[in-house]
Parts: sequence; structure tokens; C-alpha cells
Amino acid sequence: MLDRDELDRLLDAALATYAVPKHDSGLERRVLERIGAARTPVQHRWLWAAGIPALAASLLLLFAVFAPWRHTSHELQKIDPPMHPLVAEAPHPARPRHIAHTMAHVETTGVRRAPRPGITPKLDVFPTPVPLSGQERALVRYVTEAPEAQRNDLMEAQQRSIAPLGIAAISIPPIEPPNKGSE
Amino acid sequence: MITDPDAEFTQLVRRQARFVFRVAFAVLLNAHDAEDAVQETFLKLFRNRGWQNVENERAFLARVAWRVSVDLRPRRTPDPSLPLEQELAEVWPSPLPTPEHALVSANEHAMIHSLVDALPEDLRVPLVLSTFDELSSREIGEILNLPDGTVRTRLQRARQMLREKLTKRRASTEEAHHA
Repeated sequence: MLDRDELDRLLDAALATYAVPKHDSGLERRVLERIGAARTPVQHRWLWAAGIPALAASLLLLFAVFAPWRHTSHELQKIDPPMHPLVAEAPHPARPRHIAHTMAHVETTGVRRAPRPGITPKLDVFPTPVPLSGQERALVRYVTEAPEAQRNDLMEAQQRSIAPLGIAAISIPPIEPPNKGSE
Repeated sequence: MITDPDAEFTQLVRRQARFVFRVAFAVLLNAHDAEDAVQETFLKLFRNRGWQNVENERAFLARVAWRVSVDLRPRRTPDPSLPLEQELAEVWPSPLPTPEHALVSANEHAMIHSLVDALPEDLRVPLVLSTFDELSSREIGEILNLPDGTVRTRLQRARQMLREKLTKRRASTEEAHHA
């Protein structure tokens, strides 16, 4: 039988070798490999985290530069040049209703859209000639057929009517109270 | 002086991997699971940089390894109705076929290792931690979240159980030789 000290020495010696991996087990190497393998995806994750926003920004920039509405705007400017001031100020008597609505929409929203091929606006700048009325025909006949003296009188009468009228100053006398005796 | 954190961590792995393995093995009683726990422990330390600026490196590593190993340990509740010997044999089977087999092969250390494996975990882990690197009962208590006195009590109980079992095994072996 072993005494207590011998048992303790035996236990200590055995416990000192308990769960000790062999020196050539490669434990440290495998641990470092696992950490290296786990570290690589982290770096890739950082690359993705930085790359995706950069790619998105590039695409946004390209889209903004070559956007379809930019071409449409140029085309609209080509087909709708700036109008002459006199023409621009002139009323649009014969503008179709749908074109007028489109133009009003452009003016209010500021968005200029390309017109559809079938309804290209054709602005009615010069009104279509119409036959002379009866009064106009009579005037033409009078001017061409009347004697020279009558035509001069007519022109003088027109000048007179155009000249400004002289209006005398108006004087209003004060109203006097009525006499008691006359009542 | 090493300043690169990666190189410093590599040195830490080379310096302490075997120690962490022993702590993990004391909980898991399986070399493969213990190695998984070692890798998980160092991976966790690497990710959160928790290994830098620690006062007691070994105590810190032992605590992390113990927590990781407990998380990896398969859940099993021992039956309180079973006697201790039967419970130990059922819950913590020895990696060797039997303690007698170790005696027959004249490998006393292996037989004692199997007896250590058969100890309850709350006795085995403090015992294993106390056997290497001169971890004090206070440091073991910090690792396992136990009071100093509890650790000392458990160490005494573990050693007493091992003495009794070892004496019993040796007696039975001598009887077998005489017969």
C-alpha cells in the first residue's frame, strides 16, 4: 500500500501530463490557419463595404450625365426655337386646345416634354386671309373713285378727329341760400 | 520588441495554445472538441482584441477557454438518483476502455487520467487548473466565478476522491497479480 505522500506524488506526476497535446500535433499551426481563414473574409467585407457605395455613386453619375431626359430637352429646344418678341406677344387665336393645355403645363411646371410625333405644334403666327367685309369694300371704292378734293377733306376730318380736344375749365358758382321772402 | 498586433497575436497563440487546450479538454474530455474550443477561443480573442492589455494572461485565457468550452459542451443532466460511481461512469465515460485496462498496460498515468476524467466537472476543472502554471486558488476562483474557499474545498475533495480510487484500483490489481 502507498502512503498519502506517495499517492500525492503519483497524482501530481500524472496530472502534470493530463491533456497535454504532443509537441508535433500542429495545434498552433491549425489555430493560426483558422484565424487567417477567418481574417480574409473580413478584409473582403471591407472591400465590399467600400466598393458597393463607390459603384453606386459611379452609376448614379453616369445616369445623371447620359439621362434620357437630357436628350429630350435638347431635341425640344431644336424644334421650338425662341420666338420673335412681336410674335411671342401676339395672341394665339387659333391655337388648338390640347396644345394650349400642353404649353400651360410647361409654363406652370417648368418641365419641357418632347412632343409626340403626331401632334407637332404648328403655331398660327400669320392669320389666314379672309375676304373684305362690305364696309371695307365701300371704303376702298370711295378712295379709288372719289375726286381729289373729297379725299383731302376726308383725310383732314380724320386728322381732326384724332387731334386732342380742348376742354375749357369748368367753374361752378357757390350755391346761395334761398331768400326767406321768396318762399 | 514586437509592435505588430498580428505578430503579437501569433506569439500569443504559440505561447498559450497548449494551455488553452488543456483547459478545454478538462471540460470537454475530447481532443477534437477541445481543439475546436481552442480555435474558437483564439478566434474570439482575435476579433474583439480582448487579449491586449490584460494583467494575468493565463488566467484571462483560461476564463475565456472555460466559457467557450462550457458553451460547446453537450447538454446532459445527471440523474441524482444514481450513486456517484455509476453516475460518473455514465456521464463521463473514460476515454480508455476501463481503468483496469490502463493498469494491465502498466500505464499508471493513463489510468489516473481516466480517473480524473471520471470526476465531476466542478471538481475536475479546478483540479486541472491547479496543476499547471501555478494558478492559485484565488485565480482559479476568478476564472470559474467561485469564492476562494469553495475552490480550495473542491480541490481537497477532488484529490481525496482520486486517492481513494487509486488505492482501490491498485489493491485490486495486486490481488489479481497474487491470484
